[in-house]
Amino acid sequence: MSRVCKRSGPACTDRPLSDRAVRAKFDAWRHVVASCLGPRARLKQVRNGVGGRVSTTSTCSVLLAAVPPSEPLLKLLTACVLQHVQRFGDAGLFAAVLGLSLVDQVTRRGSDSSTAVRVHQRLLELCDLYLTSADCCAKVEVDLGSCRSLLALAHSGVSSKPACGLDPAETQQVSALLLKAFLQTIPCGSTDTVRLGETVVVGVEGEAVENSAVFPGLLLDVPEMLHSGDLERLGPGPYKLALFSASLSGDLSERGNMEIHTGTDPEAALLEKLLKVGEQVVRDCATLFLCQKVIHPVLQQYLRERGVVVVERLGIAMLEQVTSMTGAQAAATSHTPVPAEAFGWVEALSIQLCGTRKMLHLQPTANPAVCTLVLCHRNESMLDELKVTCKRVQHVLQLALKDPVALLGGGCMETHLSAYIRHLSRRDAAEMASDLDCSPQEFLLAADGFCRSLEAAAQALEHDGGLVLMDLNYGHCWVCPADEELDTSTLLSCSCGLINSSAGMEWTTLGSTHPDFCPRPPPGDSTARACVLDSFPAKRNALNVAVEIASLILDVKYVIRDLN
Amino acid sequence: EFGLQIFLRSLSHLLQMSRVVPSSSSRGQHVGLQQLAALTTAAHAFLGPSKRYKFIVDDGGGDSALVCSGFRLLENLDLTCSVGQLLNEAVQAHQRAFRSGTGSLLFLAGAWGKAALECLRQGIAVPHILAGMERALSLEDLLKAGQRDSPQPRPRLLSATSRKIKLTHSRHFGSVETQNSALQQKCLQDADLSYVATLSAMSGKCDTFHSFDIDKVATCVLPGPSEEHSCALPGYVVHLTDERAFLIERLAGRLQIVLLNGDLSESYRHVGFCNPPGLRYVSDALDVHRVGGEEEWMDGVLGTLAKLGVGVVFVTGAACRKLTDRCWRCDILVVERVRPAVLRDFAGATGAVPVAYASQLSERCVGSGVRVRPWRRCGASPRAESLAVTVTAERAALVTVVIASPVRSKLQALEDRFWGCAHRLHHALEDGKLLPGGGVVELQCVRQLRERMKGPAEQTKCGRPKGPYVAIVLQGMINGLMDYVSTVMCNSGLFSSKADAWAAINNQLKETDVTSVGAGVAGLDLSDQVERESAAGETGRAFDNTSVKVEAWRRALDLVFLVLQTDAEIITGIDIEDRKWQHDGLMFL
Repeated sequence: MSRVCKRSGPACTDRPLSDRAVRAKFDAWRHVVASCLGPRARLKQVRNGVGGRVSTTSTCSVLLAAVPPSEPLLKLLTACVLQHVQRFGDAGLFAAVLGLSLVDQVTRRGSDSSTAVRVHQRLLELCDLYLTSADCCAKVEVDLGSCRSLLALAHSGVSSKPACGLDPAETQQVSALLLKAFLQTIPCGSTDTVRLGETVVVGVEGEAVENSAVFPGLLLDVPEMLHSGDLERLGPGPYKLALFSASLSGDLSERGNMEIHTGTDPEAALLEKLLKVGEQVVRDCATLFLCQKVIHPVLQQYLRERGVVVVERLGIAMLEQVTSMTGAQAAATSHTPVPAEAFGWVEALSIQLCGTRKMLHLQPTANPAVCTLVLCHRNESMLDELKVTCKRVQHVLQLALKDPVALLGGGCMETHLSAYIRHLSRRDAAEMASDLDCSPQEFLLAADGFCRSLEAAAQALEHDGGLVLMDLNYGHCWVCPADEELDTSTLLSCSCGLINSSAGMEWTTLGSTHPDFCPRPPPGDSTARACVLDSFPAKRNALNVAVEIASLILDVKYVIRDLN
Repeated sequence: EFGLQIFLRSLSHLLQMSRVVPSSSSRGQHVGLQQLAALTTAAHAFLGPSKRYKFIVDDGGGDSALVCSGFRLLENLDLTCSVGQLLNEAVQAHQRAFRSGTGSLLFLAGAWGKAALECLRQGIAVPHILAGMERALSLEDLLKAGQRDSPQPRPRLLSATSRKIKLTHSRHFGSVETQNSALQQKCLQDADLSYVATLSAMSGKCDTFHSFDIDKVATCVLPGPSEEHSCALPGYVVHLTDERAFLIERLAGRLQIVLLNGDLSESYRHVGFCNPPGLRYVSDALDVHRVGGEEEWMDGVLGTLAKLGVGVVFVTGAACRKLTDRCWRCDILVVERVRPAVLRDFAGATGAVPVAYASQLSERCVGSGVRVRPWRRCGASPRAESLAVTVTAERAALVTVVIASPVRSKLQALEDRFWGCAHRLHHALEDGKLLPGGGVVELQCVRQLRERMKGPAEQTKCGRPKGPYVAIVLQGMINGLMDYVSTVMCNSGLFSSKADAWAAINNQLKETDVTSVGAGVAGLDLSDQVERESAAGETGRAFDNTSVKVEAWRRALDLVFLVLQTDAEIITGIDIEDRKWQHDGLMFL
């Protein structure tokens, strides 16, 4: 008997952004993401109402993936930001904060959204033009010949996530390790196509951070039955390696229904097949036998008795790494013998102790370009955050290799850009307004919203009631802590560290009205002094994503929801 | 801070029900830190040498548990809040790594959480609290600069906590005793469980005292006999409750052994083996159900065992009951649920190779030189016959510590306590140095921190003295440590109330301020101290592990930092119409 349900019609929300409930959700989201920004961020504990693990984080990719918003427009924004993070690794929170601020500025003023969108797009073009131009003062060259700026880039990335729970010395150490690992992934030989290698991150919980290390090659979990004596007996390398992606557990892995006549024993037959594979591998003088999945204990015993080192359950991720490092081709079936060209090679085998965890170290024969970063941390939540952070920083470093430029961090790029755009928009207001088919007042209002949104992103870096200032010379960002009285003579340097305070400098609180000025380039040769750096490609794309998604959200006139 | 809890729903059809309630968070109200402080107070009774048991009763199911340590307490609680889960995660991780020190971790997490709360109440910004605490507790500096008040402390590795379990000596120890010097004698006088176990564990290679392999120790809990009967025995002790256990007499002489990883049953398959669910067996004969399947398998196994001349079978998983019975008839002892470490030790000592299936057994897998001896009867009534037997192998370093108690529910606590002691010894030998226990280190830290408060004000980078927050943060840390010491003293019965203890500590601090001498605490070297101490014959001072204490402090501080920096708890996937979520202070995303 079938049941008939009455279908209800779709619900339509007219001008969703004018709805108070929707606005409240936008505000809540802006509050959540803005409070996650920067090295003094407020963390979020995310858990499921039903149960499960609690994760403590301030990382965009973790937070947004774990917390799906209920509002469709916010879903749109989260999806865009997550996609940006997937491509560029960094500046996701910046994109979210900027996008939400832009929407907020327009809706709060109640100005015409289509004009605002046109102005935003125009200003975005100006920003892009400025950032890519040679005389842009918000960026510094990354000198690939020295580690200094690369290290600053890594350090800024690691220190911006307080949930990693690292003290300054540990932050320095992890940044250095990240850089070391990154340098090991750059292939030495110059061939036609240069392909970056990979860093495999292995987390060890319960160990001090100082025990973290980088190894060339790969580390696998040591099989329980392997002793260091077994490795010594192998003699000198290189060693031949057989790799399987098929399960060698000896079960009937085929799906569907099957009928088996009693009297026949499929398990025994399969095991016999497996042993034939083992026999062939031993005949071909392989020393290492690796399998992505489970290996039948009988086969394992057979191989071990013949001096072969057996490692099972590598996992799909490790399988790929082993394939690329050793040159082996993973055999997808145990029914045919392993062809001669499918064997790979490993230079040396040893057992490494990472804290208390024993691991089998596989060293590559020729050009390595694969390394393993072992991260140790006392606490599981902190280790999780640290792993995500390290992957993010690796991504940022790789991008810097392609485009050796970095943006000033600590909010300086945002305030500088805002000052520049403000100056430009005031100067050419009439001309641009007529271009965009609106009145100069409308144009200035929308431009002000744009600049305020940029400033809001800089302001969001301060969470403890401190006063955020901007100097009227270079347009950099300065912070005066809350519990110290405001005295500009105590300011030493700006947030990114590029500008030192000097006599005759003037400041204004960020967001207040100030006399028009064109930000000057920093004095002298000071690239070496900037100590907080952000990824240029990531932040530039984040700026684009934020403006585009804000425009899209502002353009939405109806939200139609199917309630069935 | 944290007053704002954000709740989120993914059920979109309930959207029109959503509401936003602005939080009424005020200064110094940090829900997370308050939860942390509240959760940790329950563990105060577990600090110090005389611990008090706690009953945990489940109102709904009527289940109850008797706990005597921080990690068991948290394990048995139903922790619904995020902070509770974080705390539990941290405590269990510490327990896994060190097997002791969770009491300190819990206490200090709570105490320093309270200190952070107090700082927030006084309006100190979060980064300043973090920086102040981090610097106040730069542990290395504190511990290295710390001073000890007695010029010659005696390195009794274990504080008095371990003394509840007494051991009698086996013959084995007699022989060790005669071989070795003053250290053993002292240990035997102390009758300290771990010492005895260690000595046995190291009896094979007695020349070095630089490590203690935990894997060479096993425990066997014995409900029934009084606690006086606890002892350490060479080899592996198995508690047999089978009524035919007395047949063990027939297993005389040197026996052969095989080791099996996994279960010993016909249906057992190795991990990762799964046949498709659609598999069916068909037959053209009437005998469809393979009646002989299990019998056939048992015959095969017994045949193999008999052919190989095996007397003992160790299985890490469960063994099929029918087969065990039939093995008894053939004078084969099957021991199930053997720890993997024990299996490894026997593999090394007897030359046996562990395998997964009985069908894999061959002559190469068989180990030899095993003896089985009955040790003592444990059953009180003749109907419930039970017997403890020892399985020993030549060259095996394994020692089993038998933990007996007539109160069955105490056994777990006793076993935990033993492992705590054993791991402390292990870490002490690994570190090669000790810290004076019983609150001495904490008092030294208090002294250090007070010095710092009195000393010249630290300068900020621009040359002005720091605000008053440094003093407030330091005072909070000091109060936490003072609270710790006074609780330890109070729990150990030295003082009747915490206030008395607090006053006495203050007096003591004033006195020692004048007379303190500067010998490094961290430099207490084990090797030569032992001789000197035993010669001096001092008694009764406790010591703590350096690494364990440093880690516990560090982890407690990590926890406080994580919670302090958190401003919202986001709960996903909730049903908005659930009554549970219908209260103020929530926001829906």
